[in-house]
Formats: sequence, C-alpha cells, structure tokens
Amino acid sequence: MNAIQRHFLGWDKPFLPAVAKWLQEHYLDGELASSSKVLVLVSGQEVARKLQNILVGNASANDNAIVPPAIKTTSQCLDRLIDASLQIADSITVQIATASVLREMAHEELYPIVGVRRPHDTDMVAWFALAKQVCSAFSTLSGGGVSSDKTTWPEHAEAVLTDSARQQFDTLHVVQQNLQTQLLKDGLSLLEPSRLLLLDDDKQIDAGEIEHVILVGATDLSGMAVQTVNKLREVGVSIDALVRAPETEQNSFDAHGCVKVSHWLDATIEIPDENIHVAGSPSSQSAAVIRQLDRISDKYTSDQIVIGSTDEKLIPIIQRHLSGHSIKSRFAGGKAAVEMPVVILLQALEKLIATKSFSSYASFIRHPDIAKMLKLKNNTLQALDDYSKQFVPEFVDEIAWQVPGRKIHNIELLITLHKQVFEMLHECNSIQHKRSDILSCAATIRTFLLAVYGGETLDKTDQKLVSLQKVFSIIDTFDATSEHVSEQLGLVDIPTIIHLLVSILEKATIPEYPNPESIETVGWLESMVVDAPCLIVVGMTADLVGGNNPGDVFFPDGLREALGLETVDRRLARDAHAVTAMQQMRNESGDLVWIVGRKNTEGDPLTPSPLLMCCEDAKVLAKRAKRLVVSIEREDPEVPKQFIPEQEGSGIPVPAPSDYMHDPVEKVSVTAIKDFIACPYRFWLKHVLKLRVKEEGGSELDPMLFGSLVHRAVELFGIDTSVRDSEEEQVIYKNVSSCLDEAVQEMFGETVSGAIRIQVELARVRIEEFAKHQAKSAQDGWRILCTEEKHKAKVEVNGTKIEVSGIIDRVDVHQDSGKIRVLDYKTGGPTANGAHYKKQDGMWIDLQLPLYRLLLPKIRKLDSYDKSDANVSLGYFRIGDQESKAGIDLLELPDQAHEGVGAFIDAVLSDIQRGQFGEVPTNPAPKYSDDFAWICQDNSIIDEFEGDN
Amino acid sequence: MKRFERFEIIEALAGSGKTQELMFRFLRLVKSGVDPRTILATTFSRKAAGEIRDRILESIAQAVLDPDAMHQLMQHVPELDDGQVGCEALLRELTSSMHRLNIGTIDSFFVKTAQSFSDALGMTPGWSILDGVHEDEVFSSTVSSLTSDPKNTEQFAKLLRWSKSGAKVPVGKTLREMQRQAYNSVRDTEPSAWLWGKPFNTMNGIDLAKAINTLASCSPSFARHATDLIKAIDKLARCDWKAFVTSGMAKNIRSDKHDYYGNDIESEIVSAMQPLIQHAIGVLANRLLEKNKATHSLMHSLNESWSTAKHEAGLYSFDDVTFRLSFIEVMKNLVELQYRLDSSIDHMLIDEFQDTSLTQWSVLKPIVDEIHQAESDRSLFIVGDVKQSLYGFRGGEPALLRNLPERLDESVTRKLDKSWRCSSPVLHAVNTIFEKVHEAKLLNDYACDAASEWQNDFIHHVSAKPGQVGNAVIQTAGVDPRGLKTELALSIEKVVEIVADIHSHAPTAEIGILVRGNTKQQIQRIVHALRTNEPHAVPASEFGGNPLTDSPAVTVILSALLMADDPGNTVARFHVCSSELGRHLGILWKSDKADETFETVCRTIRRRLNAKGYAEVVSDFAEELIDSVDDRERLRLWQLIEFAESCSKDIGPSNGLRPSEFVKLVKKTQVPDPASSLVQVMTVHKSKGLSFDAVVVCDLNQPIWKAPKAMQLHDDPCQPPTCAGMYAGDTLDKDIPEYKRMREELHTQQVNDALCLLYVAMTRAKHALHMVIPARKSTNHLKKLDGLLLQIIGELQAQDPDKIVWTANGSDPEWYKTFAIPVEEEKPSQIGEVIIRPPKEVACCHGHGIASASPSSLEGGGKIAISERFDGKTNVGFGWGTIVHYWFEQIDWLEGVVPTIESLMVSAPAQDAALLGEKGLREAAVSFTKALRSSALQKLLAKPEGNVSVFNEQAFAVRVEKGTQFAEFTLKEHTDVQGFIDRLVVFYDNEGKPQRAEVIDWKTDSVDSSEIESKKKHYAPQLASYRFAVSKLFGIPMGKISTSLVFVKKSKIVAVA
Ligand code: SF4
Repeated sequence: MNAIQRHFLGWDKPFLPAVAKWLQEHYLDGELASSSKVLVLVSGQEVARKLQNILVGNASANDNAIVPPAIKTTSQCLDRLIDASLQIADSITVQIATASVLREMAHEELYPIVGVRRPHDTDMVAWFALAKQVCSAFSTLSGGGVSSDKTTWPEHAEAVLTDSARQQFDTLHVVQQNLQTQLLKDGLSLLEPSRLLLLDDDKQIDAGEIEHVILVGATDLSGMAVQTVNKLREVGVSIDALVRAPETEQNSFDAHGCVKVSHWLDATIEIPDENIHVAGSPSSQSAAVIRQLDRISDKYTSDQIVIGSTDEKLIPIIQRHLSGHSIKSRFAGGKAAVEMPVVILLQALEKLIATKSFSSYASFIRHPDIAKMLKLKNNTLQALDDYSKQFVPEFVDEIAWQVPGRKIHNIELLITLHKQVFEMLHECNSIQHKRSDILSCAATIRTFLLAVYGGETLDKTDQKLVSLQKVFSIIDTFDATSEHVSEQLGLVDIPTIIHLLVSILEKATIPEYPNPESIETVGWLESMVVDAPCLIVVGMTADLVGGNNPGDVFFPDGLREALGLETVDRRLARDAHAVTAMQQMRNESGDLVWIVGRKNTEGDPLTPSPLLMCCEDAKVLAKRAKRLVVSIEREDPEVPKQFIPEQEGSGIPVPAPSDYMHDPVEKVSVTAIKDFIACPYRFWLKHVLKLRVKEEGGSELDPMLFGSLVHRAVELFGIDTSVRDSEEEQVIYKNVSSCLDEAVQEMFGETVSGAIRIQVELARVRIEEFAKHQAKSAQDGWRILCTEEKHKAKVEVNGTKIEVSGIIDRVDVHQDSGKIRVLDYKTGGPTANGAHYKKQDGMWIDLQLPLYRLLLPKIRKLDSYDKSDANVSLGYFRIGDQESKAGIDLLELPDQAHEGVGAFIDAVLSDIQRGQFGEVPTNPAPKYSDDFAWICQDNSIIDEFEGDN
Repeated sequence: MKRFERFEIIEALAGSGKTQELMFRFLRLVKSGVDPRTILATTFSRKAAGEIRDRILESIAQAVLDPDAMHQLMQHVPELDDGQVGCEALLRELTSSMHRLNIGTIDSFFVKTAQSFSDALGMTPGWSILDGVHEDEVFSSTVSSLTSDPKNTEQFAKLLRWSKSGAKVPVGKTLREMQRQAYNSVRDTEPSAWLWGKPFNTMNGIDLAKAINTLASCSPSFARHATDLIKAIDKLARCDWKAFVTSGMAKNIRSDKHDYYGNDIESEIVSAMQPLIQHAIGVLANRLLEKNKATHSLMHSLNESWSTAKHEAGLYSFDDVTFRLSFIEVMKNLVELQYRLDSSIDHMLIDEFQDTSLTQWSVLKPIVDEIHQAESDRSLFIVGDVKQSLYGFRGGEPALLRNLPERLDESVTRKLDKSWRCSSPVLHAVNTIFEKVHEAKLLNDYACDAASEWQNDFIHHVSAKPGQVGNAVIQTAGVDPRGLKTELALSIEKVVEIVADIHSHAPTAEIGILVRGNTKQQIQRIVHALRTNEPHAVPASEFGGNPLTDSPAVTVILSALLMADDPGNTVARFHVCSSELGRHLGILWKSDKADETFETVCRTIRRRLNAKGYAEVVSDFAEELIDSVDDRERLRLWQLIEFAESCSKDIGPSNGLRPSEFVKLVKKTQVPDPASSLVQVMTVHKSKGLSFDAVVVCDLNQPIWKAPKAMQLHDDPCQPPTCAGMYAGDTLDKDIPEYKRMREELHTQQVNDALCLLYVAMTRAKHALHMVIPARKSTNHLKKLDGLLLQIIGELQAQDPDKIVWTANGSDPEWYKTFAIPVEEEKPSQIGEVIIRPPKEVACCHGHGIASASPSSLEGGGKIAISERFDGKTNVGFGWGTIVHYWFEQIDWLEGVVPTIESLMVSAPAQDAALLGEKGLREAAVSFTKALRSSALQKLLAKPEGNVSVFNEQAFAVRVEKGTQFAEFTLKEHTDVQGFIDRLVVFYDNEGKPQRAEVIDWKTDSVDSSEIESKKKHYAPQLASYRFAVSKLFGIPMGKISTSLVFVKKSKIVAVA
C-alpha cells in the first residue's frame, strides 16, 4: 500500500488558488483524458464550486476551456464507487419507507426510541418526524464508517453505552434491517449499508477509472472518508493530501493531512489585538461591520470583501444595515425555500384543509397567487370581514353564507367567491380532508399547483422557478413511491403530505443570482475558506463549537469520541487551524477583522469563543479576556445613513378636522351623543368620518354581539303579545329562553361554534334574571306597550334643524296609573345614573335617556297618554351577569341636573351641527376610543375613571 | 489553606454580593482540580448567568494583570496559593473551556437534559420551547376543541357562571384565566386533593317551602327585626343563600349572637331560622364542592387536550419540560445522566434557591441527594434568601430553602449580612421596617404569625460602604381640593415630581420606579406622565421597553399593513391617508369605497409582503416618513425594521403571516428605547436582580389580602398539596375545616408575599429610596401596605398631603450633589457615507460573482413553461433519455453490428431502468436499435478515413463573458458553462493538430416533422455553447465546428448552424 503524500501548500496565500495551481501542475496537464483519472475531494459543496471556478478562470486567462476533474465532497466520496447495478433509494423515499416500517413495529419494540409515548397510528406527521430522526442517526453512523449493528463496533465504543443506549442501538439496527427488507421488495438498496459493504475488510474496492485521489484541505476527514481513502490505497490509487499549512507545521497534522486534535486544542493563535472588536447587540455588531467597511473602503473593491457570520441569524440584520447604507450584499447561502411564495401557499392550503377554519380560509384567499386567480377585489374582502364580524363563523364549508334572516352587504360577492374557491379545490380534489394513499395525495398537490401556476412561463434563473422545481421534484419522488411502501404506510392526508414536503424543504435554499458588485456574506464554514483579501467575521461566540448537539438523543459526545465521529474537540481543533490559517493568510496583506458579539438576537448574553483566547503570553491573554467580557449594558443603536435626514422633522401630526371638508351634520343618533360629550374629536372620527375597524371576529361573540343577541331575545319576547303580559316568572323565562334560541338561529344560522353555544347558555342565565324582574314588573302593574320604536325628531339649533334619531327599546305603561316608563335594555355597563351624570363635577356625560323624551310624541300608541315630565320616567332594564346588575334601573338625578339638561342638549347639538370637533383629541382618552388610539396618538392610555368598566 | 465546606448554604441578603460568592466558589473548585464541565451552576436569569461567566473570567484576568487584585482574590480563593503562576494556569484553563461551562438558568439546564432524553420522555423529535406567540395559538385551538364537544357545553356554562368572573362574555379568556389559577394545581396533585368533602344535607323543595312559611309566620316584636325578616324571606325566595346567611338576624344567629340591634331575637325566630341557615350553608357548601369537582374535571380535560396539542406541535413550555423530567425521573439514573450529558454533575452551585418550585426540586433532588451521600469530594453550594421569594405565584417554595440545613446534615450555613449596594439610610429604612414588622397589626392572628416568622428570618442589615450618601423617606402624595383626581393620579403626580427633581440634579442617575402590579395601566401612565411632564420632561420607559406602537410613525406603517389586509378597515385607511405615507402611496381620503388607486395599492402591498417579507416593505415605508420625524421616532422606525427582520426567526417565515398577526406581534413585543433607559418603570417582580441609584416605590395602597381563585393546603410545604379547591369567600370557614385551613395558608402566604415584595422593592436602591403613599383623611388602610408602613413607624393617623412622613437616619436629601457623574463613554462617531467600489474587472480567480450554468439551461431561450415541465409525465422521458444516452456512450464507431435488445436491457443503469419499468425499457431498446439500423445513423456512426478521435460524454467547463450570445440567448453575467457533449468527433491533420470537429447531440423527444424547425431554434443556444467550448478546448476556429441534433425516435439528423 503506497503512502499518502502530504503537500504543505503554506497558509500565507489564498489556499484554493494554490491548490488549483498545484493540480494543474501535477495532474491536469491539458490532456483531455487525464482529468477523468483524478478525483478531488474537498470539505464542502461551496469549496468545490470555488475550486472549479478558479480552474476555469485560470484556463480562461489562457483563452482555454478545461475538462474539469471530478470534485466531490469527502462525504460523497464513496457514493460514486457504489456498484452501478445497485439501485440506491433516495433520501425522501427512505424517510417515507422508514415511517412505514416504524409504524408497523409494536410499542415494546420501539420503546427504546420513543419512550413513554408511541405516536398514534394515524398521526403520520409524528411518524415522519420520527423517521427523520432515525434516518439521520443512520447517516451519522455511516459517516463515521460505522454500522448500526453495534456488535461490529470497536470494543471500547460498545463499552461506553449504557443499558438504555444499548437498547436504542438494538432498536435502530432492527429498524434498519426491516427497512432494507422493505426496500428490497422494490429492488432498492439502502445507502448506508451499501457504503459499509464497500468498506468491508475482505473486499476490494473497484476504483474504476480513478487513479489519483487528491484531498484538498480536508482537515477533519470523517471515519468513512479515512476508510475509503485507505481502501483506495490498497488497490493502488495514489493519494495526495494538500494541507493548508507550511511545511514547518507537519507535526500538527496526521498522515491523512487531518488536524491532530490534541495539538490544535493547545495551539497558540496569535491574533493582533487591533483586529478584534467587541460589540453588543446584533445591531451594534452590524454597525461595527459598517465602520470596518468605512475604514477599508479605499483599499478593496466589493469582490475583495467578504463578511462572515458565525450565527446565520445575524446575516439578515447585517444585510439590512448594509442596505441602509446603500451597500449591495448577497448571502451566498441563498434564500430559505420555505420563504418562497409557493411554499407559503402550500402551507396556507394545508391549514385550510386541516382546520377548515374561517381564518385559514381568509388567509388562503389573500395569498397573492390565489387572489390573482380569483381576481379578488377589495369589496369582496370587505364583505368577508363584514360577514365574519356579524356571524362569527368558526369554520367554512361548502354551504357557508347560507344564513337566513339577516342581510349582509355584498353577500353575492361572497357566494361567488366561495363557489370559485371550492370549485378549484374540488377540481384538485383537495378539500375533502379524506385519507388516501400517498400517491394520490401527491397527484392532488400537483394538480393544485398546476392550477395556480400552470399558465406561467418563467426564466430559468428566476427564483420562483427554482422554488417550483424544488417543490415539484419532491412531489415527483412522492409520486414514485412504490406500492409496497405506500400500502404499508397506509392512508395519509393532504395536510400531512404538505407538512412532510415542507419539512423536507426546511434546509433547502434558493440561491441568489451572483452579482460582482455585491459584498458576499457567508456562514462560518465558508468563512474559513474564503480567499478574498478582506474578511470581516461577526459573532465568534463560544456557541460556535457548542456542547452537545441539541436534540441528538443517540449520540452524546462521549459515544461520538469512541466511534470516531465528529466531536466538540475535533470541531474546535479544526476551527483552531482554520482561524490560524485565516489569520496567517492576511497578515502580510489583507485585512481580517473579528467582531465579537456580546448579545444574541434575543438580547441574551453570549460568551466569547475560546478561539480568540489562545494567546501565548499570559498578560496578553489576560488583557484579551478582560476586553472580550467587557460589559455592554446600554448601547445606542445606530441608524444607517439612509435613515438620517439633514434635519429633524416635526413628527407625525394628528389630522385636524378643519383640514377635511364636510357638510354640516344634519342628523345625529341619540346613542352617539355621549361620544361627543366625551371627546368631540373622536366623535368626528367615529360618527362623521364613520371610521370602523373591521377585523375578523374570533370564534366567539364580542360584548357588542353578545349584547345584540340578548337584546334580540328580549325584543322578540316584547313583540309576542300572547305572553308579554304574563306575571309568571317561569312562563316568561320559558318564552324568552325560546326567543333566545330563535335569535341565535336568526343571527348565526344552524351551526354555531362551541364557544358560542356556551355563551348562549350564559345568556340564558341572564334571561333567568330578566324573567324574575319582568315578572315583578308585570305584578306591579306595568304592561309593555310597544317595543323597538324607531323615530326621529327635528331640533332647531343655530337657526337650522338637526335631526335626532333613536330606537326606543321599550315603552311600558302602568295599567292603573297610566304612567309611562321608557326603558333601554343594557347588558353591561354602569347604572342609568352613573352612565348619564358625573356627580363629582355635576356634568352630564350622556343624554340618551333625556333625548328619548323628544321622540315620545312620535309614538302613535302613546297618543292618548299624558307625556308630561311628571308622568314619564326613564331608565334602563339591566340584563347583567350578576344579580346586582339586573333589573329596572330608573334615571333619578338631583334637581339641579334636570334643570340644566335642556340647555346642555341645545349646546351639544349646536356644537355638533356647527362642526365644533376641536383640533386635538381629549386627553386622556375616553374608553370607547381604543380603535382610534393610533390616530389620536394617545398610546392607548384611557381615562382611569372609565378603565374599570 | 482552608478547605471549602462541602455543603454550604449561603443566606445572602439583597446586594450582599452573592454573584461574587458564586464566582469565588467556582474558581476554588476549578483551582483545586475539578473539571469545569462537572460543575453545574444555575441562576435566575440568562443575564445573571452571563454575568457570572464574565465575572469569573474577568476576575482571574485582572489578578493576572494586577498583583493587588491577585492578593485580594487570594483571600477568597485560598487555593490560589501559588500566586501568579497559579492565576495564569487558572486563566488558561478557563479560557480554553469557555464553551464547556455549565452556567445557566435552571430552565436551560432542564431543557438541555430533556433534549438528551427526548426519547425516554416521549417528546416529539425536534421539539422546541413554546413561546408566547405559539402558546396563544395552541391554547385557542385547545379551547376550540374543548368547547366544540357538546358534552362540555353545559358544564362549561355552569362553571363559568359559578366562577368569580360571573357570566362574563369571553369564554376563551375566562378559560385562560382559570387555567392560570387552577391548571397546575390540578395537574400536580392527586385527584383526591381536589375531590375532598362529603356533600351536606339540604332540605327538599316541600320542606324548604314549609320552613320558609314557618319563618314568614313569625311576628317579631321589634320593628328592626320585622324589617329584617321581610328582607330575609325575600332573599330566601330569590334563593340568595349567601346574602341570607351573611346579613341580618341570620348572620347573628349563625355566630351564636342571639340579639339584633340591641334586642334579643325571639326564640321562635331563632328556631325557625336555624333549619334555613343550615340549608343555606348546605347549598353553599355543596356548590363549592361541586365547583371543585367541575373545575377539576374541566382542568383535567384541558390538561389532556392541551398537552396533546402541544405534543403534536412539538412545543413544550419550560413548565412542561420540568414536569416531564420530574415525572419520568430520568435524574435518578445517574449513569445514564452522565452518559447523555457527557459529564457527571459533581458539584452544584444553585443561586436564588428560594424560587425553586416543588416540581423543579423533584427533578433536582436525586442529584442533590446523590452528591450529599457520595463518599468522594463532591459538593453543594446553595445561595438564597427567603426574604426575596417573589415567585410563589409560579410555584416557588421558600420552605425548601428553610428546610435545607435539615436535609443536608453536615452542611454549614453562612450569612452574608453586609450590603454592598444600599446606602446606610436605605438600610436604616429596611431595618426599621422589617425588625418591627410583627408589631404591626395585620389582618388577623395567623397573618401576624406569618409576619413574625418573616421577621425571624430577618437579620440586621449592615452597609459595607458606610460612607455612601443616601436618602430614604416615606412621603405622601398630594390631594385634589375638588376631589376629581383619583388616588392613582395623585400618586403619579408625586412620582413625577420626585423623579423630575432627581433627574434634573443627577441626569446620569439610574432611577427605578416600582409598582406592585400593572393595574390600571399604571406603568404606561407613569411613563406617559414623565415624558410629557412640563417643564422637565423625563425620558422614561417601561423596563424592557415599550412596544414599538408607542411611536406614531410606527403606527402609520402598521396601519398601512392593516389597510392592505383589510381594505374595509377605514380607521387604518384614514390614518394612512392623513399621513405623509398616504401622499407617497398616492391615496387620498375618500369615503367612497370603489377607488381604483386604493385597490391597486392594497394589492401591491399584499403581493410585496408575500414575496419580499415584512422588513423590506416596512423599510420602504419608513423611508417615506424619515423626513418628518424626530430622532427618537427615527430610531423606533429602524427598530421596527429590525424587528420585522428578526421576528421570522422565531415564528417561521414572516411572509406567511397576515398583517394583523404581524401587528399583534409588534404590540406584544417590548423593544427597549435606549434614549430613555435611565429612568424605568416596572413591577417589583421585574426589578429582581436589578439595582438603581434611586428607587421610587408607589402603588403601596393596595390591599395585602386579595381574593384568589384557587387555594391549596400543604401538610408539608415541601410536598404536593393535600387539599386544593376554589375560593368562595369566608362564609364557609366555620363549616368546612379544610376550607378554613386553606384560607389560612393562603393568607399567610399572601402576607409573606407582600413583605417579600416590599423588601425587594426597598433593597433595589443604591442611594435614595422614596416610598410614596396617599394622603388619607382616615386610618382605614390598615390592611394595605401603606397602612403597614405607617403602623411600624408609629404614624398611624391621618396623613397630610405633600409631606415627608418619615426620614431614615443619616438621610441627605441632597445626596445627588456628591453623586459622581460617570464619565460619558466615548460614543462611536457617526458613520458617514460608505462607498464600496465595484470591481474594475471581474476577478478571474476569486470566482466571485460568476454564475454557473449548464448548456441545457440555455435551451428554449432559458425559459420554461410550468405546465409542460412539471406535469409529472416528463420523468419517464428523462429516464428514456438517460438510458439512450448511456447506450450511445458505449459506441465509438458502429461497425455494422447492432446490439441485441436483451443485451441493451441488461446493460442499462439500474436507477433509470427502474424509472422506465420493464416495458418502457424494452420500448426504449427497440427504438434505439431501430435508430441504429437506419441509414442516417449508420452513416453518422461509421468510422471516417483519416486521423480522427471520438469523445463520448465529453465533460467540459468554460468561462463565458457577460454579453456573449449563443444563438438568440444573451448571457446576463459572467458565467461558467459546464456540461457534457454527447458525442464529439475531432479530425486532426497529419501532425495531430485538430482541424475541425463535429458535435452531435442525441435527442429523445418525440417530434413531428413540422416541429423540427422550432426544435432547431429551441436547441440552438445549447449547441452554440458546445461549439464555443470545443473551440476553446481544441483551439479549433468556430467556423470549423459543425453541430447537429439527432432525433433518435425519428432517426433524423438535423444540422444546426
Ligand atoms: S470597529 Fe469598533 S473600535 Fe474599531 S472603529 Fe469600529 S467601533 Fe471603533
């Protein structure tokens, strides 16, 4: 077996160009055929791409093209050697098959990996999640060149295991065997065992055309890669390891060119103090980046600068700051696939089908791609809001919108919309939340997507196309699920399959089109191999190497160590070498800046990375340590240049009524008056501009709607002349109670949500109270004369007339005395006195009841009655939630209040008529105004006196 | 050298430097050879944990640098007896293991443990912590599934009706409230704890009617008695049992007082009332028992559906994690624990132990016990202060700390009685109040016992820095002569006065304004009042910051989002239209709804949100407002952009969010406003772990005792409750002993809580402490904290307004004169314009900005029709294509021999063969052999004369400059084109110099003759790129390279120019 040739390419120059040069000198001599004999192994996809770019670029400088050698990552190195006659199952197929295999297993069998809770048979989402976990364990093992069968492990590794871990691996092994059996039915092989088969001691590997393998900067080869390389050596393949270090460092690397862990853990890394900067929050870290860019902007062009971040969460924030300074940037990692509109749409569909909730429906139709298809207009959306607000539907179904009895503005728009949506969903058969096999689910999702996007022709570089490609390629794989697997998997539904699809896409990214004018931003792994002369690294916290892999229940670090898998120490050693090399490369010429963050995006404190504290000299180290843990309590966030104008503005003005034209107010309703008294400005917003917030209702009635329901029930009772005079509490209760049911029907239709049903029961409690007091009132001789009297009266103010209108809930007359009692039903709030008059300062705060007096003459049925002040009383019939808040509650105010009321009414009406709305809102705000808080800039602080109600 | 105690308990009063103690202990352990990984240190917040980590490193670094510091450190860490050398070694050890330190919150330790045990705990793979946003979502879906079960409807209604909130309308909110109060208690206890009590006997309807009649037939001799009798009968008729037994004659009879208004109640009445009283009590008691039962059953169902929902979503709260750990008892198997956590836990340092809950304790206990019993050198170091136990409402159990010395025999308790934080006057106030607290008359006897117990725990506080100036006063708020202002308004005015005064004298002083709870939005009110105070506006904010909606500019942008989502939201629409943003968007306020511009604007915003996300859209809007706002607003706008950028990290892609949901998030999230971080308003709970130069405590005029919803009874405070239930006033104390004991326990606890709260609030002050109480005309405030204060200082009488009621010894009202103004840290300079130059030429080797493309991506002008490409039928076509290509690859020259169908089928690569299936494969083979037999292909594949080479599947890669044209396709960027040429034939001259070349591309599409032209056009860019590549590879001029398409199914060869 020939030895591995190590070549130390130095670290004071960019590594990959040196590698390219070396390759061209040694193996790629221009002979077309020579390339195919070479296999170049690199540490990651990005390095592969870069190396190839350099090779092509070098050739291009000589006006040449090249025959590129195969450049693969070390984790792929085995896969091209696997026997071509084996059909290897792809990872998605394996995940699906694994789920099906797991589900077949009994709880006792699975216990070591699911613990106390085995997923429910039909909970496919859980099975897929478990399958994902299990599959990743398989690939971790095979990455180390280790089988899932622990009897094949080295003795010391098996010895590490605890009882429960032993059982875990036994189970995993059984799962893998079952899985292989399952897949074999379709002639498929599992990747991991196939890999291991190649590495089998007794077997020779077939290297095919390959004669030379070149390891490029592979400082932490996996167990599998090491074994592969050794196997290749056995069959005479030559191995060269290109090491990113000078010859003098040869003792720091092992025979394969990997870092010697113990050496690098103790290595000294000299980083000049001035290269290290400390910043607090992500925002300050970003500002520090900008400062650095400012410092070096004369020296470098955009392509020579790279920003690396050890925490990918920081990248969007850094980019945001860059763009705030009009600096273009590009994240080499690309945009997350799950953020693409097509994926968002699928998730909206998932939610709609899974929940059929009204809110999921409302967001589904708002998805721009759906809205476009439906030609959705604002008035339809408004109608939908109105509908939701009035009917509080919890769910949508095909017969929605069929509510009897009540008029909805633009309901026909909704009916059309509804038809369209359901037709589309029907067409792709997706609305029935029916379970079927995975194949037909996949077909349905495809049909749906084609219905939405089928008409488009897209550019191949379009991110939308790339996202569609990713989605469809997963659907293709689902489509190719074999009958065996599909059968064993059993029935699934569309939401589950979409969920699975999205979870497969979780890590996928959509690359951004390259642009030489953008500064590249990269993650930590890429930062290590960047060859740009200027590199700014942000983050550098202790989390970078981390402790245990969170959530990795199968591989604690101790076991990893024993199995030769990647460990914290190995990562740290690898990084120590990388940091050294990064620094060395830029010592002579170039810039390397480390910006150490003290806080993460959540504002939690961070600990600096040990890598920055590897100084030789103890004093230097001490100074460094002190600097890195400096406390940054308070910091002034910096706003990028673009957001700083020449001079301060005067703030956002509160809109002034005088800036808006309106005709004098001609009508006002009695219930609006109290709003005017409380705040003329907000009255203007609410009653003159008629501004409304239309939010979709929740799944239950808000106090307003609840009030209307109770109101309607007692109103129905008041209309029914056959019982309304009854003096029997029970009779009354029975009647109002059935009126309540009638009202529910009328207002909300046949199906109401569970929460509303409970609320209806709560309304019934109030009706009990009502019945008690109604019976008493009847026993006292009061009879209902009329209800729901809607009237208006003209009042003369300022020489013109203003119309006052109102609906009187109910008028009672006393059968003996002929006295009149005007009652307004109230389901909440204070007493009539409290609501109308503030004793402390002797001010009227509402005029509703006094104004009813103006309307009385309009009621025909009262024609024959004495309507003088002395004969009329005004008040509330309170239907509250507690005994103390129920009953007839008459307005009884001190005389001086009554004396002033006429003048006060005139003054108020006159102000309204003349449009005296003030220029600013009253402060603090009265309670009714929360909707207007933003316009009024009152910070939602409401008047304390009203705060309690 | 003194060895440290193996089991040490530190009672640390506020500000006595417990962080230091923890740090010293940590250093001692490491210096004496302990592997830092085996030390588990837990503390109260992530911030505190970070601070300990920093201080450990800092102190040792300082010692390395400065001999004085070293000697000082050596006093506390005697193990450092090797001086400089030892310090250096320790520093190295610590710096190299920063990433391994187990210093964090107890929650984070539990989460880490649970992650390593997810399988055993049966947790969903890949689970994460449930945050506020998701919690609401999961909870409301739970509510909806609970309520949708018709079986529950009536029970719910009944319960809601019974529960204190009465028949309040919102069902979800009420359930949420109940969940807060009773859920944990139900979950953590045996059902028997809730289902105690035997039903009481009551009368049936007939007997009851009779009894009432009997009572009604009584004719009392006294007028008062007669009126009361009528009232009583009315109450009975209305079934208002509670009112009946708690007032009038019935009340007196019940408490064996047989007189009423000075006259004996006649025996006839007494005996008529007695059965009715018994009945009423019975009904009330039964109702309570029933209510417990119903609550239990409801919370039980809630528990089931809620935990299922969370489990399915893979989201668990910290509480769930703790509960699971305690339930499954993974901690008991220490071998396993060590395996999974990668190190053993040999030493524990627990901070704030008084806040440990019973559930948390049951997780920790096995480790603590194990360490305690171990032979080896393992140790425990526990720090706490029962006086600062504020987390009773979250289950914190100070009794655990009290009982600890007993549990850990051999343990040593050390008291830290020196405060490094508070000035002497502040400590004088603390000592004065808490050393006499038991003398104050509290609510009743058992409450006084609680106070005495509290006082027993109290030790006299001594200042470690006696020279520190300070001021501590109790002072009254003003009054409003007209009587229109509320107590709250008046006390806010006072607070503003005090704070404005301090702030104007000591502008760099940190001031904390502490309230008990945020009732009546008082925090926001105080902030608002300070900010708008004339003439000294004080920049203040809520601790942790206010939601960004405190900025009018931010709300305009949010309105724009809401408007786009809900075009019918006219409030939002008007808000936008009346602002600069409306002008920018080109929408004016019109009340008529059909407005084309408005329609387009809304649609565009929705589309952009979906495609670009919130940050982008918000950023654009913000730019439009920048010119009109001031500095603070600008910062808020920027913070909104950053918020939009980062929120998607927690909730998944934000562009799937409805604007209304986004706005909800903004409203919910506090964002610190740095301009006002010196003066902060907060609840006492939030102030834990903080300190301020001056503290103003207001909101003391609240009752100590508050009626709760649920109660518990502990026989042993360190064990789960033996009894639990709902609260129902004091009516039943006499009749149900368990109930009474629960009330007593609760009472004690509330007194304890109130005292802790007061203690924590007072001890936050470094220099000055102001306690604001209302001025009162009467002394009816005994049962409130302010009354308590007055009692202790012996001023229990009416208090004049605007007066200093009490001043601590040594107070200096002008303390701020000597208040050292810390030097302003040098602010980083404003960044000017940064211009990054683009590269002059595209760098040839960095590969930066170089696109990659395959030749086939050029076909069709680089465009793809979705419906054609993704209909799912093309895959088979692909398989067919790959196999045919493979077969061609095996042929250099066709010397007349056509391979057999069978041999072809066998040789086909497995993966693609599988795609076609047996039948498809055969078809492909048949079609392939047919093509080979055609004269066109026979000719094409026949070996020509001369020096010629054939290259099948020839790989190439070539750089193509921006703007290069391949047929009708123009490259937009510099691109590396790489791919394979199906068949390349190169003709050489005699010297072996390439002369010309033929490029062949196999096509397996089914084509009509009529389609050939369009196909030619379609593939032309691809072939042009091959020609380009071949010319670069072999140095053959482009003109000498021919390119052809071969449509295999038609056996047709088409030359493409
Ligand atoms: S990087 Fe840090 S130290 Fe350097 S100029 Fe910027 S803020 Fe100042």
